This record gives sequence, C-alpha cells and structure tokens, in this order.
Amino acid sequence: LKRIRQILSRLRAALFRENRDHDVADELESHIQMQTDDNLRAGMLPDIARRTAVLKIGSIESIKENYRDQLSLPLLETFVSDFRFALRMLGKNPGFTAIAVFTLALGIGANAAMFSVISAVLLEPLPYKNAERLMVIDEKDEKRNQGEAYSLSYMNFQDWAAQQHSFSEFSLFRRSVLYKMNGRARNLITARMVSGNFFSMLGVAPIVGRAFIPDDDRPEASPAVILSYSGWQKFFGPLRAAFTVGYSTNLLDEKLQFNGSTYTVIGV
Amino acid sequence: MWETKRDMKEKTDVWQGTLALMVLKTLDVLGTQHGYGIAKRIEQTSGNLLTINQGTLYPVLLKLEQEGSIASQWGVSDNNRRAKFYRITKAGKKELAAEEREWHRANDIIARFFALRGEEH
Repeated sequence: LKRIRQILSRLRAALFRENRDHDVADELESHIQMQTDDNLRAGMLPDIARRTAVLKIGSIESIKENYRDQLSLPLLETFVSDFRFALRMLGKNPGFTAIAVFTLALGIGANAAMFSVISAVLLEPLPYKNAERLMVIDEKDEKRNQGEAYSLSYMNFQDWAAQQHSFSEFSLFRRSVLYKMNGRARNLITARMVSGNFFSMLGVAPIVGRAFIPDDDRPEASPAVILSYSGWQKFFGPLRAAFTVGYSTNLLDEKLQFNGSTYTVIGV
Repeated sequence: MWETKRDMKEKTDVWQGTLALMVLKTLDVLGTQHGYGIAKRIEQTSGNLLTINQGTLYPVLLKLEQEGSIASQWGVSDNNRRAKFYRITKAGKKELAAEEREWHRANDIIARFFALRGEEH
C-alpha cells in the first residue's frame, strides 16, 4: 500500500508537473535561516554563523537533485518530454505533418475497408439457416463459353431437383427482369425467380406478409411477388410502407402489373 | 550520510530506513515540527552521537510524505521564520508501531547471538 501511494504521488507529480523545486529551495533556505539564528544566539559572528549553517546542511544542489529524482518517475518524465518535443517539431513542419498524417490515414482507412470486406465475405457466415451447407449450382456452356450466371431454366431445375441425392433441399434462384409501364415508358426492374421453398430453405421470413410456399409453384397458382423493402416504399409510398411494417395483416392482396400480367403482392 | 559519499551510496537504503524511523518517532513525540527542528531533535536524542548531514533529511521527509506517513503544511516558526511543518498521520502511526515491533524483535535476535558467543569463550 505504501508503495502504491508513493507511485501514485510520483505519477501525479510527473503528469501535472507539480513544481516542487521551488518548494524545496524555500524549505532549505528556511532551514539555513533557522540554523543561522541558532548559531547567532550561540555567539557566532553573522557571516560565520551563516557559513556554518550552509556547511552543515550539505550540498543544496545534490539535495535538490535527489528530491527531483524522487519526485517523479524519470522514465515517464523523459517519455513525456520526448513526446512534447515531437509535437513541437511536427508543429514546425506543417507540410510534413500533413503528409505523414494523410499517409497514415490512408493506410489505416484502406486496411479497415479491406478487413471489413474480408470479414463480411470470408469470415462471417451468411446470415441464413445452415449457412455452411448452402451451395450454388449453376450451368454453363463450356464449348462456346456462353451462359449467364443464375439463368437455369425452370424445367432444368425440376429435373435436377428430382434427380439429385446430395442436398436435402433444392431451390431455384434465377435472374430475371420485369418491366412496369409508367405512362408510356417502360421501367425495368431487376427481379429473381425463386421456387416456393426458397425462403423456408434459407430460414428467412418477410417482415410483412408471407413467404412463398411450394403451393405457389403450381402452374394454376396466381403469380405472386415479394417486394424488397425499397421496392415496397417505391410502389406504395414510404408512409404506407412504414405503417405496414410489423403488421402481418393481409396487406396485401395488392396487385401490381408487371410484364402485362397481374401479380399479387404477398410479402415484403 | 554520516560518512563519505561512497559509503553513503552503499548504505543509503539501510540508513534511509533508520532515519525515516527516527523522523517518525520524533514527529510522534513532538507533534508538528519543521525540518530543522526534526534534525536538531534527532541529534539531541542521540546524545549528539549522530551528527546528521541535515540535507539528507529532506529526501527522507519527501519519501515519507509520498508514502502518506506524514503530511506537511507551510507555517511560521517560533522566531517568525516561514517553514514547512510536518506532522505524523494515522497511517504513519501504524507504520511506526509496526516498525518499532520489528526493530525490537530484530534486536532481540541479534542480542541472543551475541550472548551465545559470550558463553562459548
């Protein structure tokens, strides 16, 4: 405890530069004065009295030095003064400082960005059920090097799904583009065609409405669409969208016209 | 401290320890006192066998203060000199009691060994 108190006291002195040099000098001077007084009372001549007092106390500078050493942590003290010196030099060369800081910022920024990408892509598992067992299977014409990614036809998908034995679930995920008439202009909308078990396989549920179910795969089922949240806001207005969130009510039965046919919005 | 500078360096720890003990005891007896008073009192108590190099007293005072065994305050002495006055704290009294016990015990042990030697010869 004694030791801790001492270190704390030193730390305080070092950090706040409590200047006790002055204090010590005063204290030593007062000591000499009192010794001189006593010497005078003992009958010494004034200058001899003072001289004897000074001799008796010893080397004042050495005491002060001793004091200073004891007052602070020398290592910390030099570190602090080095740090101050560095700051001063940086202040003197603003150009150099700017370049150094810029370089550091660039380096740190680039590394942070790289790491966040790597972390998201490689390190973190996908936010889906059984993410480690998810695979993407695709087809491609090797000879002609043709075939867009994610463009498996529904028929092929059905064949694959029926004949494969490796996966517990098999679901279609196919690129497609819808267009929506806006007056006389056609707005293209990026879309995906998925099979009915797609959402249940990933373990993802829409925030409003329901997900696709295998029943939606039947040829006689009415075309159904699940909108992205931004799509929901775009087609129905942000206010309405905000109100609907959290109510799994039957929003829905909203119809949208895509590619000239009517789709029922079943979820968001 | 009492000897040449080289000796002082070698023995500083021991002597600082004993000097600290003397300071604590002196303050315990005298109450509030300034550095000069403490030095004078120590010399008197030792029957002037110890003439301390008074300067070495101050680092010891500082150390004791940092450890929280004594506290200091500026004030005015009897003959109207500004001086820094020291007093012993509660922690200091505890420390002193412990050190005193320790010192006596060590003394007893050493004394026994000296007595032993006397019997043999």
